[in-house]
Amino acid sequence: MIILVINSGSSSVKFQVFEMETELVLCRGIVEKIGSNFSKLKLKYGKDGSYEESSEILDHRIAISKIISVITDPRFSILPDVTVIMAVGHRVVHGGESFTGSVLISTDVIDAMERCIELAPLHNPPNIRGIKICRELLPNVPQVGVFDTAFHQTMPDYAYLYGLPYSLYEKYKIRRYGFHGTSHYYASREAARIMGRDVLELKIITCHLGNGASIAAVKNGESIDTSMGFTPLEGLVMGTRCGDLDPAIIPFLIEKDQLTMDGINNLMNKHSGVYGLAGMKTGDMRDLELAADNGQKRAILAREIYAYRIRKYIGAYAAALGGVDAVVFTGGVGENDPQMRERSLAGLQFLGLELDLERNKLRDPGVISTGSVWILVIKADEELVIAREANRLVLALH
Amino acid sequence: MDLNIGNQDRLKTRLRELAEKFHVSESDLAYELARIHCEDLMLLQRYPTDIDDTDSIEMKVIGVIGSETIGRGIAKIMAVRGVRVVMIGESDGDVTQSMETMHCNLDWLITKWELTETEKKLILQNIHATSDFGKLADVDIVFDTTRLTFDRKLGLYQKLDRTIPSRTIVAIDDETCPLERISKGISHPDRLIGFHFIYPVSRRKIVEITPIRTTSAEVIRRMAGVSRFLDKEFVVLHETIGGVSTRIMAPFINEAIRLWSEGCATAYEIDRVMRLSMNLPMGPLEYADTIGLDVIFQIMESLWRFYGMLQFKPPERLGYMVKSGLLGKKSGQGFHTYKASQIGEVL
Repeated sequence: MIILVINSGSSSVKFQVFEMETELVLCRGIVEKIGSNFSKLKLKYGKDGSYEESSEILDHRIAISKIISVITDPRFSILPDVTVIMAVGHRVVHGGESFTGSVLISTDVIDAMERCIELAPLHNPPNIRGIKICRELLPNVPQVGVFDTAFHQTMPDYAYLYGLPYSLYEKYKIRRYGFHGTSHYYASREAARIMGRDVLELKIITCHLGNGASIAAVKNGESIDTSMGFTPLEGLVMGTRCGDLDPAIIPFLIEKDQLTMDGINNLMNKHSGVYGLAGMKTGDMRDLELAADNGQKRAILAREIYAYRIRKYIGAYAAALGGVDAVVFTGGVGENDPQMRERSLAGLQFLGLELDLERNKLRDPGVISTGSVWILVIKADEELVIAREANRLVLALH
Repeated sequence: MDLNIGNQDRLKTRLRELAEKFHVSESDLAYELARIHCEDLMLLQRYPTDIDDTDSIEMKVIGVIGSETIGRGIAKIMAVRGVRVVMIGESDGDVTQSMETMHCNLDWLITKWELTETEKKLILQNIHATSDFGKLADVDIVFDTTRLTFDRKLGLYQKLDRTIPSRTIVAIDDETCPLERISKGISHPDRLIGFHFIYPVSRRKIVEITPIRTTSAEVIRRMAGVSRFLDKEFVVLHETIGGVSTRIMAPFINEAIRLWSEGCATAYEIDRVMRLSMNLPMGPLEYADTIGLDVIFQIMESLWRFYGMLQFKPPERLGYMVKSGLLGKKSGQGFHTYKASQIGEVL
């Protein structure tokens, strides 16, 4: 069974082709800078084959047609033709309250997705565009939508509601949704597999630390709380996002500096986080670690703030879960920054979190703890989850 | 006849009601009405109703004539969205100075958190400022932001006819420009359209689109798409000089200046009353200072000349101030006095 996974963003489309019997990745790639005349298609296939072309790719339709033609191009011998594609799995950022799991896409489903646009005005429209185009280009292939928010739909109401008037939840559906659901789901399942235990009997804290970062409390396989909220702005301090904040700061700043709505939104989303704290014109954790190691004071402070926020959430979620069996690190920073893992866990020995300092330094994913509570590094693989979901739903059709 | 988008459905309903009332078919009635007001009804059919597809506006590179405030504003909002911009200034000196101002403005916007350093780079990378008119040769849309006398304006468009390909749209920001008259003197009147931004260009969420009788439906549709692309609402106006905002703003400022010259209140007091009573971000006199008193004078004079109504007649005092070089914020002195730090231009 061949599955194509599509992640259609505002100016790029990522893709991956899976052979599901062995879960082998046949190829992966990206079309970047859509809408410009120096768009790029990058493809990696087989053992170490790679291919790149630059051309003018004006819209998502052309981008996706290009992807389909390149994965069926005889030069790369990835797929003989499009008829072998049994399903297309799509990443969709926001499913609101309508989607608690992955779905086979129909016109009704697209309508429901369009009603969620208000909740994710930047992300959902390109996701939906990708789906519509695939339906047209591959009309006989079932399409499956996998939502970033779906895994967190199991949160209890006391965890997802804010201390705002209840009428605002009824009127605008203002509540915690949480994001990176696919990643938290995968990380918790992989952790249980490595531990040799059933996820349904475990209390796991998953830390997805990438450009955006969030943390989730997973109890008996279900998400019961997560740090991102109504939008991906809440929670941890991130590359350029501020995370948790006293909301009164916002009207204060608007008034003080006569800021516009765009100004204040950009301030919190693009100028904050370690970028704004360190003032180094970069939100990349690798640059920050380097500068801090060289003694730059604000960089040292920024990474301490970043780690402290993670530590606080781990503590809070240990309380929410009533104990913890495993803490999982995943995502770009979570997988590749041993210093940040060490810093985040500092002083948490009382919870049974003992880091194996030697193993922590190794690049390989795996177990990095010596104490009673497991600490694991797991390579994020959201595409595989999307492919599995598509596979599952399509098999159920027959 | 009122031809706003929102009124289309009402017009259609009205047509059906009238047809029933007079026991004629809708098509017969439409035919009769069409004979009476043929061109207006034709206009109605050309008006865009639902523009949500901004993919088809075919806009990769645009031209902006004029490197003053509005020109820079358009260049910025296009460039930040990845559109390449050719901005034409009058002389090399103008162009250099304009780009220096642009740098300062972008830095100022960074301090207001509205831009990141990366976005500033992207904007500057996408703007090519020049005094060479020939560089407009392959742009998709030209935005003209100049305010010129009729003869010079006509001359400009005749020159454009020789420079740009026939597919290129000519969008005119100057809401007081008599487009119908201009259209008689140029070779492609179908691509001429009024497209008025409101200062400050990046902040105001609406544009006024003023097609003329010759404007093609395709051009109206594409320009409506452009406003959507820029995250702005649009209103399509019908046969007007001055649009809505300027027609109303001019007498508003005019009256404020009269009050002020009568001496019944200071400029500060007039602005304070209007700001607080009508919940405006700034009072009429500060607004005039911000736009530039020379521009305000020009606008009033054009409207006065066209309509002959006293409410548009520029007050003598305003003419005196302009001739004395008191131009508002840009000169540091207008109805109010400004310190250099207050002059940060919003693009």
